[in-house]
Amino acid sequence: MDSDEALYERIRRGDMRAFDELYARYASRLYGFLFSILRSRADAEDVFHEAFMRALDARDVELRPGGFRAWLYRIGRNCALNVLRSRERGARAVASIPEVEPAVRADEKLEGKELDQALAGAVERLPPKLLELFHLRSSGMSYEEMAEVLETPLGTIKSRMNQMVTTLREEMKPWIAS
Amino acid sequence: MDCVVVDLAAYHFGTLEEADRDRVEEHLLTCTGCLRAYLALKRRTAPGAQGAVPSAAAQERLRSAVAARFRPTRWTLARGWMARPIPLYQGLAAAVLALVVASLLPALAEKAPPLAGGRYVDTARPLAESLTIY
Repeated sequence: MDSDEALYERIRRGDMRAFDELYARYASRLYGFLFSILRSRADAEDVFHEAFMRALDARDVELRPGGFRAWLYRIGRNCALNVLRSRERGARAVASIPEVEPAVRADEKLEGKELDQALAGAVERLPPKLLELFHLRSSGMSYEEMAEVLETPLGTIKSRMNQMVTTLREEMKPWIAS
Repeated sequence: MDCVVVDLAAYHFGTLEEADRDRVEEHLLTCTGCLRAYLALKRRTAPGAQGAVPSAAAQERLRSAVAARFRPTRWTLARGWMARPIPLYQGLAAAVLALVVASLLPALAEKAPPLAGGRYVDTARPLAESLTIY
């Protein structure tokens, strides 16, 4: 299987099969990440498009092996933040957490889809900064990659990761309490 | 290990120490409830779990833009051909070189001066003259 960097070079030579492969790798994850920031399907699609084109159009880029993913996410995140700023929604989007379904009661017995829905709600309730980490870590990124994408010190990433898992643990307690 | 203190999120996201990881793994072997919760967490973080991807129209728009932007030119096609895993042009070049060498060999053989005892003999000069060296 070709690396992201190899596919990137092939696309720049006009190989559309390489594009299809790279797109399939990132369509869900990057889009999900952008959607978690923008909360708008149309905006997330536009930013996804812009991020991909910017990455492919970039000249004189020397990607270290395995460096494409963090670089693409960073471009995407910056584009998303630009959209937020340009529409003067930044502060509102960061401060507000969308209304989601109510937390599941501890005495409810959860199985199958119910459990999935409860977890989806728990993830949605994460504060934006922790939600970003959730998506990046779910993409398989290392702490170093996440620090690169978010342009944040490694120590802060570690601390936020602990916050994130603590928050999720609290959300999950009702389901696993025996 | 008590279910209440099982930290599945920390386990899943790799923030636990080795010893704690071992304890969680042991616990998951025996506790169906925790295993179910853990599997739900895994499903939630799996590729495509958010269930959302760009629409087909958005995908096609991006594909068209990329195709238009990076449509291969003759030069890029030629470079791609030269960079094939088994470069055909190298075999072709070797064959041409062999033909050239084969066609030149008889002419070179005619022009090459004969050797005599490892010494050069000027066959263009009469024998007598070549011997009158004092």
